[in-house]
Amino acid sequence: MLREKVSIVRSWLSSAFRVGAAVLLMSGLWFGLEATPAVAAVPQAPQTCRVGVYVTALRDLDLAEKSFSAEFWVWSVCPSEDVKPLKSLKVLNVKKLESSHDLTSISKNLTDSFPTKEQLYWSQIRINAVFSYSWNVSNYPFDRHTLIIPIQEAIENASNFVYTPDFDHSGYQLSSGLDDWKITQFKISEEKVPYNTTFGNPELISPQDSYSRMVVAIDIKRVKLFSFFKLTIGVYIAFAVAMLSFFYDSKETSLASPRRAIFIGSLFAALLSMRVQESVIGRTEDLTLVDQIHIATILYIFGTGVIAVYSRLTSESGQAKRSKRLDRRVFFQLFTFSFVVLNVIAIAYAIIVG
Amino acid sequence: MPSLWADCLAKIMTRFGASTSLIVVLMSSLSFSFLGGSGSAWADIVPAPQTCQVGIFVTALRDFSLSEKSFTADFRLWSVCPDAELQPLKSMEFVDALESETAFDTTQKKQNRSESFKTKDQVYWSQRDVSAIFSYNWNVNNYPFDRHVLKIPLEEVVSDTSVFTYTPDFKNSGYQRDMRLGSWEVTGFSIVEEKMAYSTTFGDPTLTVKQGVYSRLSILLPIRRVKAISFFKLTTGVYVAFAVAMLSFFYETGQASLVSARTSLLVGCLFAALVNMRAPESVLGRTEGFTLVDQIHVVAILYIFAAALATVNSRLLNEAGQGKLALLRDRRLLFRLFSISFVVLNVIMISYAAIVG
Repeated sequence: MLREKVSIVRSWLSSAFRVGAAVLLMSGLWFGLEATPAVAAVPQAPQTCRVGVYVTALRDLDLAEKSFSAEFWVWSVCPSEDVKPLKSLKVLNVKKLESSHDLTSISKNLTDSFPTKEQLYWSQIRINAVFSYSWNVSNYPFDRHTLIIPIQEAIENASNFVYTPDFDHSGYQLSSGLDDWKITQFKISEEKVPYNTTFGNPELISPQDSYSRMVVAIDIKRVKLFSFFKLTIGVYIAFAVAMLSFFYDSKETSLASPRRAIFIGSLFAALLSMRVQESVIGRTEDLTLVDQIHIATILYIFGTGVIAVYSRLTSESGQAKRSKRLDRRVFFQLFTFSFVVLNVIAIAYAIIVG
Repeated sequence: MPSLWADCLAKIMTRFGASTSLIVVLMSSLSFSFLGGSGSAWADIVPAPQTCQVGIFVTALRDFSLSEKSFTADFRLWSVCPDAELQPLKSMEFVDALESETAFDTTQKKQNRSESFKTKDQVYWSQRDVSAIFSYNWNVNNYPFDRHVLKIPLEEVVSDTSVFTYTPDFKNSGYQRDMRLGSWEVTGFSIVEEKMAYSTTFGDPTLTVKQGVYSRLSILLPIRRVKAISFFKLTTGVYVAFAVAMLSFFYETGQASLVSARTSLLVGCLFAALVNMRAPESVLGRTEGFTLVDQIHVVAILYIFAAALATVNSRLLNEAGQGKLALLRDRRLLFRLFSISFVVLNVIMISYAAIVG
């Protein structure tokens, strides 16, 4: 009797256990189903708008002030009225910025973008900006540059919004020519720029913000070289005059001794010419081609001074004829040819690496 | 209220007796006066100032103008506040800013997952983009080995420190590592909170002491020069002028003419050195400091002048019939003495500048 009761209790317990397990399993499944928001937490694709840039003017390419000015239109084509990338657009590296003609209109979608949308929101803005640009004039006047117009989304990070470049309609048509320059290439690209900070966002624990940036890159090259000629004519003439000193006798000690007068005058002219070029190509920490030409000339002129002393000492030791021959046959030719070769190498290198 | 007190007292007297009642009355009157009555003791306790966490991220440094004595900085500022009423970015002043522009002023209510304001589930996160030109007095005494500490000072202008202070966001503040600085390099970053005391209350009627203290955040960015080619370009002229002046020792002083080769050479060198001395001003700006470049120029000019004195001495020796001695002294002694001592002096000056920077 007791055994029967025990077995009944056991069977109750086991069935209760099974029911409990089933309930637990079901509730687990239920909660699992309820927890489908975890699926929803999978990051959604960021919103996007088609954004394009059209450059209408490039001017004031100022090497000394390290800047250039650009006028351009930026537009966005968005599938939703809520997304307004031009309102949160930040133009980077600008010294001055003015914007105008901020327009938005609803247009019928006849494009390939956003095919599910019948209507799109088309916004435009015209920007006039002075950009800070560090010109690398090492190879002036054979220098090539890439002018960068960077436009960045300032508010929404890349997980919420990214630009889609409008490759088809972006470009340039300058209202006035670039004078000494020629545009060789126009590129537009989108990149994600990460920052190693959360910008204080209290919802983020570690830096994970990157922002969508549109980069307009315009390659230019110099087409007129006349300023280079103007900058170097003085120093080349100074060198040529210094070379003439080899044809003067070093026996004469007075200053009427033209040899000394010539080389000190040439040195002075080269030094002055070196100072002038800074006002044209700006101050730079690089040893530019123009610097190289000037420094080489100054050293050559100093070299003629040293040779003049040597020639004088040789004359004093009674070998005036030998010193004259050395001056005119050896040193003049050596100095002139080596200077020309050096210049050709320096200029050729600048042309190649540009 | 007095009737209620009287009822209570009557009940206590009947139950515990008069003496106990007296103690209760005394205690309760004391506590009443302390806690609720006048409340003066509580009012005297100064409440802690309110605070927000404020941070900065420098995205660009440019236009380091030694002659204009300024630099430009682009940065983003943010604040995280426990209360919507606190808006430190609105009442922030950029101290020493010659010009400033702000954009993208936003405030969002955010869930608080940070370690600050732990009792708050939600905090207010504000951001602002700033581009400003700051005045900076560049000390170029040791150019091109100069090191500088660029300072961006941000100060609360409305509430003094008894009401509001900044709490720096050390963790998230910093600078963009890939900034293009040309010939410079950022060597560090620090952010400190300071209390700036002014010997005025600026007329604040709530302040009794004649001092206003305001919270200030100072962002310090040490930089150093990494390219020194411009130094070479600035000094080539003067070094060549000196070298040419040294050649003068090889010319005779036997001739009486004032326009002797030697004298004219020295005058030319002096003129070249003086012209070259003007060039650094356009690069380094006008400064009251005696820069390394100035030192090199002044020393070269003094040496050229000394070479002219040596020429006169040599001439006098010639006049006294000691032409050979003069020639020997010029070429063997003075040329070497001048050249070696000039080189040694320059090495010392340049080494000193490189060390103290």
